[in-house]
Amino acid sequence: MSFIQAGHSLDAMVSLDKMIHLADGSGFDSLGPVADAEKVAALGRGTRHDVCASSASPRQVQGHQRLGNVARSGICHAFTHSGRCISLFKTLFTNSCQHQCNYCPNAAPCKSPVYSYTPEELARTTLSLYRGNYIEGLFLTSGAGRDEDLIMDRMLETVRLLRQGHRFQGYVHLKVLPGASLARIQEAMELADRVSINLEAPSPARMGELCPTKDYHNDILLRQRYIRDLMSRVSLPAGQTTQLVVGGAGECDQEIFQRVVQEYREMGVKRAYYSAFTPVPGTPFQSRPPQEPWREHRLYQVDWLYRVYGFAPREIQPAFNEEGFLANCDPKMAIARQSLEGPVDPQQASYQELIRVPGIGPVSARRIIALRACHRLGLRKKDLSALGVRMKRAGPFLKIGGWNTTLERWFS
Amino acid sequence: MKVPHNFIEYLKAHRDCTGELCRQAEEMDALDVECSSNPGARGIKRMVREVMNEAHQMKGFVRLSSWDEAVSFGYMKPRHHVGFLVSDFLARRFPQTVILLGNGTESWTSLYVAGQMLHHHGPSLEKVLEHLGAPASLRCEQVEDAWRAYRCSQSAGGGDIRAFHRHMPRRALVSAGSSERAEGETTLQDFF
Repeated sequence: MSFIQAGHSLDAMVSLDKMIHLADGSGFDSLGPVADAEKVAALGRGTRHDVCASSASPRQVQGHQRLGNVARSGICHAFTHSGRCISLFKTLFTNSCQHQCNYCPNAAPCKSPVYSYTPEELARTTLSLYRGNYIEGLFLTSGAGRDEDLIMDRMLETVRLLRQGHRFQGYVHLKVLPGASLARIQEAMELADRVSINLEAPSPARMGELCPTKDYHNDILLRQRYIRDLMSRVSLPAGQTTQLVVGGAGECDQEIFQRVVQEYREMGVKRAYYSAFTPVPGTPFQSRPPQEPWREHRLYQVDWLYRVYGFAPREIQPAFNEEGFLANCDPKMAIARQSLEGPVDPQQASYQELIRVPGIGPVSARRIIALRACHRLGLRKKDLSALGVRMKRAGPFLKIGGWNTTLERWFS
Repeated sequence: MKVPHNFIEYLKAHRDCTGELCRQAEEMDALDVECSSNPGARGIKRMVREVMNEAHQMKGFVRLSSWDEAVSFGYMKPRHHVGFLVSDFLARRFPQTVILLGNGTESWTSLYVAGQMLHHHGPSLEKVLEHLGAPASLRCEQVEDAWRAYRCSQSAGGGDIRAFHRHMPRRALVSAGSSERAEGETTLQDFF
């Protein structure tokens, strides 16, 4: 039995010939050649450490004369060998750059061959990949060239060509180059689903070490403020994000976390991404040790506790050690061990109490509350397990059916 | 992945679904299926999730080619009856373009036009393409080359085959006719 036969749409079964007849009016021109593989690889390599996990946008797509749409549930079209999803065509517009970032292979002192797209070429390549269902959209960033506004203009021309010339309605994430003008930032926000500007470091001093040619306050924080202020006038469906290099300038996790909290509160950043520092041969930082990928993972967990679970920064404090680093273990478990004052009874606990228990997330906490409201919450471990509670982790912190738990015995 | 309110539609698309199971499912609501520890409900939840997972994976892994602007087609051989779930999704993405997905035995065609979804359930992909007068050579090497180059450029090296297949299960890749492989992965075919 097929889905369609089982469903409601049997009346919409038509002949193939009729379909072809109706489809004739799509009106999209032949796309022409895409960029050559060497250029695609070289400019793609420059974005390897740019993280963009999301391709979902709440934007409403309207009209039939269009190409593409945005999906609510992000779709991953492929994964890298290190496990990062490839849902967008992530590319530099050019790898020529005036800045001297000590970790970046595109920095001015590194003598790598220079590649650039033309706006038409990049738009064609994006559309061809999109129509082949290889990607969900475009993530466009760039080296700053000799003049960041000139490069921003070319990037904007590409997106304008996609949106207006080809009526492309897929997802677009546009990076704002450090130091870009207000007018260009506004146009970027009008065209893209999401814009971002990379913070890279948690403080001006750390930035001085990573990239001496960037002015932290003027080139980055001021541009983030522009985006925040413009958001009251310009619709930016997927909001503003940022990214930090983890461990490039010897900063601790707490320093990064404190800056990110400030970003969420003051800049209205929707989310922050973390990229563990990896030395690139030929750069001034080539001999620095790479950071363990788990550091990135633990920072995401702490970020999640603050942003999704609603933990206050002072509640997260116990997860950091004296030097301000996170250990390679679940921060929520570390916090619970230090701060939970007694076992939590799922039959009585509030949502806020439930989500502080390791192994219980917002979804399972909501399910417990919903079932409790209609007196259908089971009292056995098996019942909680069916709700998505990870009993192995949550068990010691829960009081199930009035029984004393490991934690309660320990407290007594 | 939450159990949706129309979970019975997904259940019916499961290859092992029976009339008895459907009758049993009709007596439950989505919350029952999602939260119950009853073995029957858990079995239904597992089946619904299998169908939803496969449809989600196919939406990402199926690749489309075309020889003119009006038709896009791709290979797909799913284990469950998710053909129209995937073709409808792609048809909504590309309005006024015929989306044709299929394999050696059956094909699913969807067209989203003027706010209405049209369907055709037909014979093998090859036969339908022949009927539509597709040219003999259809592979778009240029786009595939660009994709391969891009995909390799995103790899930081040091891949783990098992971890890679956790994200891209072999079975899903075969169903979507995909040739994506983990770094350093070889098959018996490579030795011949």
